[in-house]
Amino acid sequence: MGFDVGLALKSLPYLLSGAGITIGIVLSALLVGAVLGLLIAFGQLFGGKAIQRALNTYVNFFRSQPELLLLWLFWLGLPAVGIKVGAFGAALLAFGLRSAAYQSQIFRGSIQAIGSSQLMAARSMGLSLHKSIVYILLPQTLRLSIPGFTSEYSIVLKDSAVAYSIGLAELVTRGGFIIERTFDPTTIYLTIAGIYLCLTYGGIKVLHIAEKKFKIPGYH
Amino acid sequence: MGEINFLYHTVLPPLIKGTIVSLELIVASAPIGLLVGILSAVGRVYGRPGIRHLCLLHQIIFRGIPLLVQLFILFYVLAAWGLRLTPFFCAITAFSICSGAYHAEYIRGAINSIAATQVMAARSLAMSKWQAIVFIVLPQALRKAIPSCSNEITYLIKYSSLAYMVTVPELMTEAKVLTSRYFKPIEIFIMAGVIYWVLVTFASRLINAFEKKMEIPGLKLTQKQL
Amino acid sequence: MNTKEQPDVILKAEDIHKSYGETKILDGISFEVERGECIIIAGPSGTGKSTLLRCINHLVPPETGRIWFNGKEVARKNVNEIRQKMSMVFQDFALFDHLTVLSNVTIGLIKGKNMDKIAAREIASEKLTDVGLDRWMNVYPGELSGGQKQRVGIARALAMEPELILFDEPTSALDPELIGEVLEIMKKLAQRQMTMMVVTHEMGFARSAGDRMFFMEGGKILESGPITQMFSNPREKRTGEFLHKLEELYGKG
Repeated sequence: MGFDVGLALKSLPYLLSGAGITIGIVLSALLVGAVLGLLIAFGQLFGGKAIQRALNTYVNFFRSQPELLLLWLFWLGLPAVGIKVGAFGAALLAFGLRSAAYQSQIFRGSIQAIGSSQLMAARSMGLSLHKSIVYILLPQTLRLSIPGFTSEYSIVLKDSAVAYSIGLAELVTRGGFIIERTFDPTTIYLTIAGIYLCLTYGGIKVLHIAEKKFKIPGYH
Repeated sequence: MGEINFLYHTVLPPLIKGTIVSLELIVASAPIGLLVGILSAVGRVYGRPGIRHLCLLHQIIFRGIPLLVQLFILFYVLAAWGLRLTPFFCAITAFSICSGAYHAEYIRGAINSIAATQVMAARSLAMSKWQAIVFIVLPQALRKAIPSCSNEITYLIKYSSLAYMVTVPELMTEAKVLTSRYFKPIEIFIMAGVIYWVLVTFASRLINAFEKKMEIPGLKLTQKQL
Repeated sequence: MNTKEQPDVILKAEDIHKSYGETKILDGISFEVERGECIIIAGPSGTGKSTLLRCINHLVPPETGRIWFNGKEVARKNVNEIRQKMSMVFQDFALFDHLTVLSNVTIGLIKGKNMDKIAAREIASEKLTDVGLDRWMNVYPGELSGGQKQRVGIARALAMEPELILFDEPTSALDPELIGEVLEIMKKLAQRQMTMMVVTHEMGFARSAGDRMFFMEGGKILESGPITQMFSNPREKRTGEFLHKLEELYGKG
C-alpha cells in the first residue's frame, strides 16, 4: 500500500480546513495562556506569601498533568456538574490552563532577568506601579519571552492533536474520518504529518522573524 | 464517607494496575530514548555527511510532528503494510524515537558548548577521534545536558498517557474505562491526576539527587529548558 | 649554541600552504629545527602562527607541503605514532573539565600510549611534582587558577615524554601575575634542552630562553635568525618595528 498522491490532493482542502481549526485552538490557547501566565508570573514575583504558595501549587500541578487527562476532565467533568462545554471549549480550557502554567515560568524568568532595579527606577521617577509595569517592565518582558514563547507554540501545536480524542474536528480527527471511508492510513497520516511539519516550522520561522523585528539594538 | 470508600475500593485498584503498565512503558522508553538521543546527537556532530543528514532528518521530523501522529503512523500505517506491532511495542518504539529526537537536540547543544580545543588536546595526546568523543566530549556533554534531558523524561511520564490511543491498558485507559462505568468523571480523573503528579514529583526528586551526584566543581550545567 | 658538525634536524617543513576558504593563512612556509632548540615564533595576530603549529602535529592538515619529524614524513596514517612523541600546550589550556588534575595527565598515557594505570600514575605524579602541583592532584580544573591550569597543561604535555613540545600562546590568556609561574617552567624546559616551538609575544622569555626566532607575517616567515640578532640587527625593517613594539608593550623581561 503506497502513497496515493491523488487521494492526498483530493483530501487536502478538507484536511487544511481542519488545520485551520488546529491553528484556531492553538492561538486561542496561547492567548489565554499568555494573559493568565503573565498574571501568574506577577503574582509569583510580587504577591504575598499565600498567593505565591497557591500559584506555585497551581503551576506545579498543571505541569505534571497529561493533556489527555485535562481534556477529558473538562469535557466529561464539567457537564457532570451542569456546565455545558463543547469540544472546542474543553480544549481551550485544557490547553489554555496548561499553557498558562508553562508561560508563567517563561515570563517569570524574563522579568527576573530584567531585574528589579528598572522597576525601582521607574517608581522613583514618580510612575505608579501600574504605569511602571505597563510601560517599562512589560515591553521588555514580552520581547525577552519570545524564544520561550516560540517553543511553547511548538508544544501546544503538537499537543492539539490530542483533541482528536474528544472529537474536536481538527486535523487528526478529519484525517480519521477520511480513513474510515477510504481505508488508506498511509496516505492520510503521511499527508497530515507533512502539514504538521509545515505548521510547526512555518510558525517557528514567523516567530523568529518577529523576534528579529522587535529586537532592541545592543540588547543581549 | 461512601464516597471515599468508593474511591478507595473501586477506583484506586484499577488505577494502580494501569499505573504499573504506565511505569513499564516509561521505564522501557526512557533509557532507549536517551540512547537514541546520544547516537543521533553524536551522528549529527561527528558523523560522515550521510549519517549527519540522517540524524538531522530524525531531529527535524520527530520534533515537528505530534507524538500522536507518530504513534498512529507506527500502529496503523505499518499494519496496512502487513507489519502488525503489538500496542505495547508500538508505544515504546514511538516514545523512544520521538523522545530521542528531543534528547538529541539538547545533547547536541551541550556537545557544541564544549571547547573544540579539548578535542584537539585529546588528539594531540595520540587519542583517536572516537576516543576523544567517548572519553572527553560525552562525559561532559551528558552532564551539561542533564537538566534538559531530565525535563524530557518528565515529559515522557505525561506522554505515556497517549498509549491509550493504541489501546495499551495503562493509567489513562483504566481511568477512561472507570468513567464510562461509574459516571463520576471528576473524582476519577482527579485521582488519576494526583497519581501523575506523584509520579512526576518523585521522578523530579530522583533526578535532582542524580544531578547533585554528577556535579563536578567548575563544570556548569546548562539552564533548564522550560 | 649550535656548534655541532652535523646538525641534528628533528623537524623539517617544506613549502607549507594552507587556506581557509578564500583566505591564505600559510603561504609557503619552510624551515628546519634542530634537536634541543627553542624556537620563538612571533608576529602580528592572524598571521597563521597557531595554524602552523597545528599543521606540525597534523591537527590541521596542510594543503600542500611536507613535514618530516625525526626523518619520517608526517601523514594521516602515522599521525598517532607522531603525536606520542610530540606534545602541544594550548592558549585556553584545553584541560578536560570532568577529570581530576591527575586524570588529565594520565589519560593520554592510558588511552593514547596504552600504558597501564599504575605506570601512568607514577609518571603523572612525577610531572605534576615537577610543575609544583603535587598537592592538587585530586582537584578538578574548575577549582584552579589560570596559571595552575596551564601548569597542568604543561605537565600533561610532559607526561607523554615528547621529543618536541609546541606551545600555542601559552600565557596569552593569563592574568599578568600568573604569567611568571608558567614562563619559569618553560625556561627550565629550555635549559634542559627540550626542543620547543613557542608562539608568544613574551619577549623577555624570548631573550632569556630562546635560541632562534621565526618572524611571521602574511603567512610567510619574513625573517629568521638567532634571537639576539633579530633584536639588535634584523635584516628586515618590519621585523625591527614589530619586535620593538612588542618590547614597548610587554617589557624587555
